[in-house]
Amino acid sequence: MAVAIAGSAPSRPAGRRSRRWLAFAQLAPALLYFVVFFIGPFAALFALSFFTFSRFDFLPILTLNNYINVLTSETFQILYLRTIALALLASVIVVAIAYPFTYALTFVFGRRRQLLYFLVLVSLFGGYLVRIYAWRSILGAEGVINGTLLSLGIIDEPIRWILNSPFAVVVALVNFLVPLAVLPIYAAMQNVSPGLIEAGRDLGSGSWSITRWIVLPLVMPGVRVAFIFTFIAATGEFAIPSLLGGTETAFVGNHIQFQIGQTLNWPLGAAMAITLIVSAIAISFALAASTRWLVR
Amino acid sequence: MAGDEQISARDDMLREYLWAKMHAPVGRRGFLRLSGGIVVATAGSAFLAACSTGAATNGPTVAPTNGPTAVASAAASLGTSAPSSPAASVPGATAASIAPSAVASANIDGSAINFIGLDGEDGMKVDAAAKWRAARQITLTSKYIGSDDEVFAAVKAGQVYDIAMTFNPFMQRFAEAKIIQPIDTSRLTNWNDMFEGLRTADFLNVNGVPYGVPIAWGDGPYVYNPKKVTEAEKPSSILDLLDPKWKKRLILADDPGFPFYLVGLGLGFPSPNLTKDQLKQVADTCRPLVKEQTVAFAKTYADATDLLVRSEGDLTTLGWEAMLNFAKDKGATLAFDFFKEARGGWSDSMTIPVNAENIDGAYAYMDAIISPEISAQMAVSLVSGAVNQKSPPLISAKDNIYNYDVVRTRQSGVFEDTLAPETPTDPNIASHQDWLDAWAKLTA
Repeated sequence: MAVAIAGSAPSRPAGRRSRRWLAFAQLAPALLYFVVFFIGPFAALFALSFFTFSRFDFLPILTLNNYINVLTSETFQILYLRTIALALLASVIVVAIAYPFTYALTFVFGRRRQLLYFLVLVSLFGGYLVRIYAWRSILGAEGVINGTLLSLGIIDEPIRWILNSPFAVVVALVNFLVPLAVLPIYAAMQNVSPGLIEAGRDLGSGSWSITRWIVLPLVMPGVRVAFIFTFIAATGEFAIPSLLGGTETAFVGNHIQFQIGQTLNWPLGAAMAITLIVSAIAISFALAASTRWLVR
Repeated sequence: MAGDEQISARDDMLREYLWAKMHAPVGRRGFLRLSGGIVVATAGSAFLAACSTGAATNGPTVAPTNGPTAVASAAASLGTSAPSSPAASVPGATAASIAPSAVASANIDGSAINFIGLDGEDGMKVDAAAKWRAARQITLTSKYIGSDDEVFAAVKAGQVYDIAMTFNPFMQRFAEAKIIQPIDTSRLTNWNDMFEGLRTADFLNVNGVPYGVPIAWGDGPYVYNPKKVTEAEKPSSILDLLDPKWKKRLILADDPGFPFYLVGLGLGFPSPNLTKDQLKQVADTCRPLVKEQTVAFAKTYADATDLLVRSEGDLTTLGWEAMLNFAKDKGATLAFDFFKEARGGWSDSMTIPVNAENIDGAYAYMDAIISPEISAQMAVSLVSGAVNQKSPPLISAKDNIYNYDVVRTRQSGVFEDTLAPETPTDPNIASHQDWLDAWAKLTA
């Protein structure tokens, strides 16, 4: 790098430099929050996963045994595969719902767009557990669906499998995660110029061709982000499987809760959590990257 | 002089170099590199700090992130009781090591007591306890929990409490983990008036030394919907629930204690001291009970009540007499009964964490809570059994719903430990951890 003559300033304009530092200063609180409330606890969890659990105490005797137990445990493998499978199913359904909805929101609803967008976001503010219990009321033996079907005479007995089953878990996951998916897809759709769509129509393209060859490639980054958001959120779930999944739909999160809450084996629980986090991130990015063929 | 000029020139060059370095513009990449370095340094230092603590100290002080408290399992407060088994040994705690001392000092007026436990178990809703505190100007500060592992997390994280509630299945574990201290019963004037079946229960005593002061108990019934379960259909044994007619009609707690204990007894094994082979047989027997007969796991008694009232299930082994009141509030009627193998029973105790500060206040308050009048009011408030022998006559007939014969003396089948020993002295005996691992495999 150039060594300036003593006493002389670099040649950049002072105003431009101060704008850079102003930007850095504005980022600093967020970065500090991120480090303190996310990186710090995550680092502590990561460190704990290497500790030794002995007589309900966590000894800083570093060991890989926790990870070996996790990776060789038949119980963890069953739960892991189920978690990934149901999370994947829920994410695909979420994106399949969120994309056309957001398309309509952006290009069809016109003036009502902001109101509908707001209504989607409002659902995020509802109480988490309240919404889960609401699904119990909807899907239960004496719930809204069964009550309606029974009163219409379509069924003679309540349909039991719609609650306390994988079906109920997927339905609740989709309900919770669609608003999360709408956000990035909507943001990406703002970058699609209506002029491009008009040009496509002028050249004779139908609606499907416009959606497939014009809009989708442009919003694909948003779709990928939506998928990643929903997949990662779904893999970390434990309350929905616990309250709506019956005895057949435990997720890895439930097993982590069991290790930490019942056996008090925090290091093993931490190892499970780290394994789940790392693999979920890797899988979601790999799947998102593999969608490049859609836009070729 | 030539040397001085050389030194001066060198200093000037050094100064210029440093000035240029310090005032060089930081671009976007430079900022990202710098930020990444900060992040890695922070994570690395946290890692090293966590690893550098000595062997004598506990692990990281960051408490885990718990789920929503409403979801937290109350399985720990089930019908499970103390071990009568080859009990776990807790080093350092023997009867001889607890020197008798004077009754709790009266010099606690104006002090503060910090409590952690379930809502209602701190005596806040009991008039007599409030009067006791007011007379001594005692400030009670309470933190309410959803499950007992929150107590473990709080004390491990270094939070200071003078009284911590401990459910009977966790007593031995907390004693082994050294987060609670032995109780000096000579400081409790009402201790000897406590029912013998509670005072001498195995769940409470480790190496002959009590680690808690029971303040409430229950006798572990199963609860059912009488509109769906006829008198003739009611099970007398837990093994009756394996009949195909119970398919997808049961609600269990997500905990092996009660089902494994009862099924073990039903199969003729010396439950809870099961050998590992016997445990495997018990788990295999429980598999259809869980996978085919059970429709859902209930998280709490209120959750179990809700599932019964909504007809999601017809019978739950997560039973408490108070559920009848919960159901009545919802306009429904439930009933209860007991399995012939055993009642099980549960008991919640006040314990003193090892880092308690106001130990005199803790003893005085615990002694007050187990006094006849306050214990009677606590029993009504918590819909539990009273712990003091002089309390039942003070409870109205309407509220006196428990059979106190089960706690008058120590007897098998009630507060007999339904949990496997934490660290059995016989290696052939399955430990509590073995039970938990078998359950996790069964429910996966």
